Amino acid sequence: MSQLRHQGVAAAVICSEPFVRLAKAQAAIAGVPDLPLIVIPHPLGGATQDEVKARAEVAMSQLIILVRELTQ
Amino acid sequence: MRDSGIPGGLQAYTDGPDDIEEAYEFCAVRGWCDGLPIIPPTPERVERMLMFCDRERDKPVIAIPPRYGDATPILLAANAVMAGCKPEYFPLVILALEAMAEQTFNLYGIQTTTHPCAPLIIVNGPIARELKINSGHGAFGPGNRSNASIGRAIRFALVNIGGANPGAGDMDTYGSPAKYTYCIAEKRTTKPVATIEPR
Repeated sequence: MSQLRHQGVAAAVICSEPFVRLAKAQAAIAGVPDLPLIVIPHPLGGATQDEVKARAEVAMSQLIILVRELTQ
Repeated sequence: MRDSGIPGGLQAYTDGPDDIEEAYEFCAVRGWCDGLPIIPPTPERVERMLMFCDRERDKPVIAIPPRYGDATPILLAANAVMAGCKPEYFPLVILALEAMAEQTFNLYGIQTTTHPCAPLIIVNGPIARELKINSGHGAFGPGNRSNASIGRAIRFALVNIGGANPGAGDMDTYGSPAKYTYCIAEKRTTKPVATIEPR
């Protein structure tokens, strides 16, 4: 993802809440500290169909904001 | 090394106390130990450890992920002191970390995964007997200094230099006692288990 970002391609990482700290750390190490993160609730394993849909909705709203920002 | 944002990171002990209880507290609050007491890595002790190292003391052996901290012999020696290693154990600590640097080993994955895994050091050859590394009864358990302190020094390096702090760099769901220390010797007399020796 950092390579795409370096190439100027709009890119983001979807991660669940407990992984935000590690994701930010790795983005900084990879030289893209401003790499956008789409944050969804944890956990992913064992989620029901409704819970998966709810996470998708959380992600989608952030994605729309992100695309608007990147295309402005 | 870039700033990873992962907290902690033992870089020097120049301001650290000599008193053993104060040193324990000093390291514990900074996340530099496993929760158990440590030996203060004073310059004298680090120098004694480095007497068993023929490498350049400031030249990194490996950049340990996920922080990609430079594991120089001097920093590794500090961790080995803290873990309770005898100086003669030190070359093995360096060698084990050097082995983990191989790309196919995927140390980044091992360090950060939610799986409760830890690298196991299996020592083969005369050095295992020389350092009295247990390969028999209770090899994975407590009671042997070389097994305990070599494995512990490696874990200290993985955390203090590499940034495998629980919940920050290491996302292990529930952890493992193997992350305190995990070092044994190969038992050569037992068959039919094949040796780990390269063929």
